[in-house]
Amino acid sequence: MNHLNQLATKILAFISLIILLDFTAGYLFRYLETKALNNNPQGMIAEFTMCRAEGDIMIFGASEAHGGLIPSLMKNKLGISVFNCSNDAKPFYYQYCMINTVIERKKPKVIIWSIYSCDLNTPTKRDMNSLSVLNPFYDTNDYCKKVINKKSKYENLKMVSNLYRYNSRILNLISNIFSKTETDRGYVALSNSGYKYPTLKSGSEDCGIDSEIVDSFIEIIKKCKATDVELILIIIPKFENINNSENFGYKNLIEICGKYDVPLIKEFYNSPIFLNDSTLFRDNDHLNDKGARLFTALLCDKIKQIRETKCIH
Amino acid sequence: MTFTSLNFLFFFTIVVVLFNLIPQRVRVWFLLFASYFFYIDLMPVFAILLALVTGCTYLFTRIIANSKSAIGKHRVLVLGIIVIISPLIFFKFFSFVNLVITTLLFRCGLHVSLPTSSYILPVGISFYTFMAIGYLIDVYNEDVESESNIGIVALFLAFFPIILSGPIERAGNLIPQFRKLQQTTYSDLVAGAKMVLWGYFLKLCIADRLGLYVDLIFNNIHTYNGTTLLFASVLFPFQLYADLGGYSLIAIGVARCLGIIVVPNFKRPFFATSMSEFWRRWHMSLIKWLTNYIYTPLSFGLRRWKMSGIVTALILTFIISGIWHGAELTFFVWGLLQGIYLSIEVVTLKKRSEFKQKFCLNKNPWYILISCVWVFILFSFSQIFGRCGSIGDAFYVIGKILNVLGKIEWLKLMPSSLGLFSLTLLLIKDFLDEYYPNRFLLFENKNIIIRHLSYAFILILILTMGVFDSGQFIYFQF
Repeated sequence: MNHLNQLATKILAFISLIILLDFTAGYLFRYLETKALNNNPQGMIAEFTMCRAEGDIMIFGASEAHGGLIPSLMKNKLGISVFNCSNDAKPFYYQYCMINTVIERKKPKVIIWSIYSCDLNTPTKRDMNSLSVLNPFYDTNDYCKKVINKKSKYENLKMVSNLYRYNSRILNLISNIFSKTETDRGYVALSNSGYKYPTLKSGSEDCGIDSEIVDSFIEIIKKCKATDVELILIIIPKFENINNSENFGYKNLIEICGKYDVPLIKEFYNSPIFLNDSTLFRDNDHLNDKGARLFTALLCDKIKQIRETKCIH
Repeated sequence: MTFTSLNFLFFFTIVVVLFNLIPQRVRVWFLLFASYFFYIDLMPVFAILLALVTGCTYLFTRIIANSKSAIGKHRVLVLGIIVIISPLIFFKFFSFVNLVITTLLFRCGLHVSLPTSSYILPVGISFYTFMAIGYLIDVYNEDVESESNIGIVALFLAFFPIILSGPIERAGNLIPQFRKLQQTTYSDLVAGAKMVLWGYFLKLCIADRLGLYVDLIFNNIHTYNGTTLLFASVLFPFQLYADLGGYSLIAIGVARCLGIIVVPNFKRPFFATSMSEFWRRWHMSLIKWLTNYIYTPLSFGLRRWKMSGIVTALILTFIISGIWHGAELTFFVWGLLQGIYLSIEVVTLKKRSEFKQKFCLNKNPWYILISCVWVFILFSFSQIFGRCGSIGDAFYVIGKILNVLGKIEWLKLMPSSLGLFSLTLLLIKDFLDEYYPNRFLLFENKNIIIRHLSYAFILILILTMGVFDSGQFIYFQF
């Protein structure tokens, strides 16, 4: 019996120690997070978008939008403030959390969302793993909680630990405390230094759709309508000539946009303006700075056109 | 349910608790049930294969044990080995043999399409097949008694901590422990938990972190320059060590929590000063198996060839080891290289010993350091063949390392940099264990505060730096 008591005491002492350390570490990480966000907001784009980013137009998307849309140029053309909240390699559910949170926190006039037909497909394991950046918001943001819980059935259990919430973040936090990222309101120019201009890829694409993602997509569209936020979807050009005639995901995207009357600017995707000039691209998937300037200018003209048409109606 | 999943932690905890609560007479059957549950959760259909191999092993060992005639015994042994190894050969080598035959026939102008197999490799088959053959030979050699309780034989082959990737156990060690399964003692529980904790650290904080970089580079060999490929090639052996070493430690620790002692698999391999010493420290259970059941009979059979016989046996043994890893030319070359390294060491052993004695190099730290580095370079070089998907890719990587230098892609290394920190901790620990045993103890420190803080520190590292979503262990594919 003594033996069992001894074992139980030791286990209890160890668990108490772990809880104490986890609790302390949580404070420390939150402190570091705030410090990093104050010092280098552009380096902490997820946290910055969640808590502080402002603009009449707010841009959402992954790397193609991060390096493809220039806020200062848009401001000159459209006359209203713009912020690019895009974050590299982030899937649909990340955008879902960000857009919902931004609408509730600081209602922008326009949301520009860079989307591809495959974004409506079932997320890969890698996609879901990339959502770990949302972990610190698990308790405070219902959208994040909902999305994180989709990762696995034990996610709520794992989130009990403060340390787990900041898993793999320590270097990122420290580097943002001591460094500064210069961006043009979220835009980071992609150069071709060290990269050759890409060669044109061609082929056909067929993406499926995930019913949960489609539901979430429609939820955002409805929310924008309900809160009077103008949602504009765009497909940013890639250096690839893709035949989408058999693409189920693409057809669905167009169908949803048509059904809910959401403008989808897709004419620059597969457009000869971009497909005939490889010097506009950093690689097959990303515009370089020259390409971003051209695309932003063309997009602004198109947005003006859309807004004018809406005013007339 | 892999070792790194929460499901496994729940399963393992429940098994340990129930194991200690149930009466001794049913413990074997309980562990057997738990082991099959674990295996079925991973690969339900192939549990039938495991049961068939178990049945055959039991049958043949019983026949050998009860056989009076030496020739009869030998025939049953040969038949038993053929029967037990057939599934392994079928699943592992069918496609390869098919491809070789089709290619040869095609070159002879015959366009023949042979039947193909689309089965995936049953997980753990290489390991339990080797254990079954080892048991069969041990019974034949009368090194162990044939077990009459089929439950114990089945548990020996299916024991859940070791079925997926070893260590490859011998019947002489495990079966006697299964015959008298006792309640777990406090010291067993603590020792096991420590091993499990350290094993998770190796796997999650080192192997999977380094894997982020190594996989990225080796999956895009045409994109990266020679220096980056060289750096990835240097990191890969560490990744492999932490992966299989981590798995082995978790397996050994889990078994220890049930009061069962499983043989160790690694002993600070990167502190070996020769290739032969390296192979006494790396994947020890496989090497011991190969030594007992392949190398020793082969070298005995070739003893009249003297040194040539030893060299032939060495090369053949390691080629078999390479082929065991996979039916690919890359693994053949990998095994051949190990055989050549060891053969050179055997042939030059006398001269090297004289040289070392003459200059008193045995305890010279610089000589030891250079030897360790040299062994590491040789092993890393051979592992390029182990890591690349094809022989062409391996030569491409080597060519690029030698010819196309450039800057290392440090930015790509960022996610793995935490892994480098953890690797440094591992190497410091291995260094202290190697050269200063019983000093600078942490997990084993007599002071309870230091001990508990050490556990907590490792746990914190796992939670903050571990990669929790990487999935499988490298050796599952073998």
